[in-house]
Amino acid sequence: MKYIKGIFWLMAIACVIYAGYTLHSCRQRLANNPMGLELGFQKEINQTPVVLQSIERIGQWEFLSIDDEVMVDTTESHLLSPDDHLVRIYHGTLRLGIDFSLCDRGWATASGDTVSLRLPPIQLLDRNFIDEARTRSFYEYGTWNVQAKEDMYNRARTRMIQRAMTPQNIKQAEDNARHQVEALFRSLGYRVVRITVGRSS
Amino acid sequence: MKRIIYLLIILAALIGIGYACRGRIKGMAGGEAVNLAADAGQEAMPAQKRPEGDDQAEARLLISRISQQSRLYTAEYRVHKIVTHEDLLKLKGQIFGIDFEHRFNIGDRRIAIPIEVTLKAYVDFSTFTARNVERRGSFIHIILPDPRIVLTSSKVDHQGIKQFTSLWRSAYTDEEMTEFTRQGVESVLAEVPNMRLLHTARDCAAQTLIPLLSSLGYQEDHIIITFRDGVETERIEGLENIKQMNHEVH
Repeated sequence: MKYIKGIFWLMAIACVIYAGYTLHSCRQRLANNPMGLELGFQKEINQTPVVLQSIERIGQWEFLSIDDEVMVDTTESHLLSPDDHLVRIYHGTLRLGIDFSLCDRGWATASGDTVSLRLPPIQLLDRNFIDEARTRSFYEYGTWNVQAKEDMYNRARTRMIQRAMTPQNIKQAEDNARHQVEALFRSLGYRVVRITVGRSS
Repeated sequence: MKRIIYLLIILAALIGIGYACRGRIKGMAGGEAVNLAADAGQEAMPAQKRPEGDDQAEARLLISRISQQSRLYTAEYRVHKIVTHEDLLKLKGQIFGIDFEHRFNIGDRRIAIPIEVTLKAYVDFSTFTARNVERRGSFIHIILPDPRIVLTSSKVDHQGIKQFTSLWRSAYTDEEMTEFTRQGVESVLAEVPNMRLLHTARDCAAQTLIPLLSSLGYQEDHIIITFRDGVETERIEGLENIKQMNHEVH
């Protein structure tokens, strides 16, 4: 009886070793066959429809673009636990130019080979210019609600506008506006191009 | 004697399992895949990581970049998408050429993120010269450069985010949500060629320029605006930017 038990256990050990060897050799054979298994968590988003909500005709001429990146952080203190902290880096492109919808009536008049143009003031063409797809979460500790993230977005936006809408940048955009508009109307055949650019308030 | 035999069995079992699985399983806590049919030379799918050099190079670049432009924006498109993600344990693959996929409801968590993407179509006048204009009497023919599409902004509707997590899973981190946002905007830009935006961009460009030329004295039916022939491909600026983290690609 003892011998039968011993033989039984030895056979069990042999089976386990053989199973391990077989699994290892099967993997190599399976690699050459169109058969593969993957087990893991899904990292990609689901396929969902893209909805074109609106198409709007606009007339904006951009003369200066400014890429900017700001880092915004926020902290929430707690009495009995470490402070929550969130740091995000926002990226945006501010576009300075003119909006033709703000032009007065008769802003462009031509007489012979002379054209006179009254352009509206240089302004920021987009109210929303931050690309949240390029936003990076640099550091996060704790949980954060919607209001905190909205507040961080607005702070980033305000800082970018302050850095972009400087008198120097506006002057540079105006100079480029005169240069580009003059080049366009000279291409249209006008020898004398008189340009007046409105002043920003 | 019995103890020795039991120990031998356990040892043999451990050796067998360890030999079969050595170097293949890298753990599932981080969400990485286990490839059960990997070739000996293949590695399991690595976790997505940005190379360290990219972050350093980007930090060294000037934070603000100012560039002069001459772009006439003629159309604006607003696109909406709800980005969804289900963080389920999934087993998928092929057995004898037959695809299969099975999800395990172990620790479910889901999120839906509404995003708004704004695209603009523009005509680049920096290359516009007298060769783009033909005049014959009272007729004027303008040949415009091809319109291009650029992403001007993308915004997450934070108020509209819905998140569901089971008891033994943690909530989505901010880093995960920004990654999903990036994937969502990327998928929007990949869909742009199917939206046929260039046709409306050309129409809007003509509708913007004709009143301008009319105010200069040209009759509307004497104004001809055309675009370069044979270029129908929609070039989208923004998709490359998100992938390469650069702003403008010409």
